Amino acid sequence: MSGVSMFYSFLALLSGANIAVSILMNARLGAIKGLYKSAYINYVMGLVIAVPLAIILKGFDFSNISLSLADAVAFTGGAIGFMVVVLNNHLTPKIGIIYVTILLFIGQLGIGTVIDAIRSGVFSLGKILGGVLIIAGLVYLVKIEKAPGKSNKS
Amino acid sequence: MKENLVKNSGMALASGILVALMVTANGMLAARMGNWISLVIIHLVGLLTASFVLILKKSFSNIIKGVPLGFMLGGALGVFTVLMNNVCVNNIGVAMTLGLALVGQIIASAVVEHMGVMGMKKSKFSPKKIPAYILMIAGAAIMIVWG
Repeated sequence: MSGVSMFYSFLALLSGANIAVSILMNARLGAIKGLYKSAYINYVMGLVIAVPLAIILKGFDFSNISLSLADAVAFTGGAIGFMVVVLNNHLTPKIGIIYVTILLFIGQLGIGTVIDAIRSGVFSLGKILGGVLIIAGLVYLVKIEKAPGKSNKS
Repeated sequence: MKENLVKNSGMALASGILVALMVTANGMLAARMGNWISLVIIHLVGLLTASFVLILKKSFSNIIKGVPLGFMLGGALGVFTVLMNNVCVNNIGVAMTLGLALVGQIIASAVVEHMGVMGMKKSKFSPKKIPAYILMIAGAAIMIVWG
């Protein structure tokens, strides 16, 4: 393991912590504005931060950028993100946040491993084993959190 | 009813697959156009998508009216999640980025709950949960060392 990948690993952990905090902050917004409007506000606020950063740090220099049709797929991320928010919100009341979270991560890590294998040509056993342990920990945590309130109607 | 559970579970899995595809697409964009401009494009595309749906639902009005500024800060934080993910995906891959982010998210949630800040109901850390955290941290360590 290099020091560089250690740095990115720490950054990924930090990204997750940031997700936890923004979910909490967004809960209040969602409660008063609903799903679609709070998503809209999130993107506006995102641009309020991202545009000045891009201008200051990059000077909005599009001159050296040439795009081919193959790059079009790279532009879909923002739209996919919106779909994910809507889909999760739709599913949570039906099967519960707990199962949505677990299934979401199984899907993420499963396909993530496949994408990495396709792009790097190496199927990493360490990533698979690590992913399985993380999901096992999540399932265990969920079982404990559910245990005290066994009054859930079956 | 069972059928619905199967269908909804499949959709939750599909949602996770979408997240992996999203992170990959965003990472590709960042590699192609740089971290900062890609950040603008990603949020612009998201904004256009949300606007499109709001217009379709005929509720494209009074969006920001009456919202305290503090309630909007979550979106500002979201930028940094996208930025960090883009940087990480291009260096350590999709699986490690998402796996480690999950561990970071769970640990941060536990800390926030334990302290009872940010409007969360305070709930003390239970030692019964320790094995779960050991499993997750072990998984993260294996990913970092052998990933």
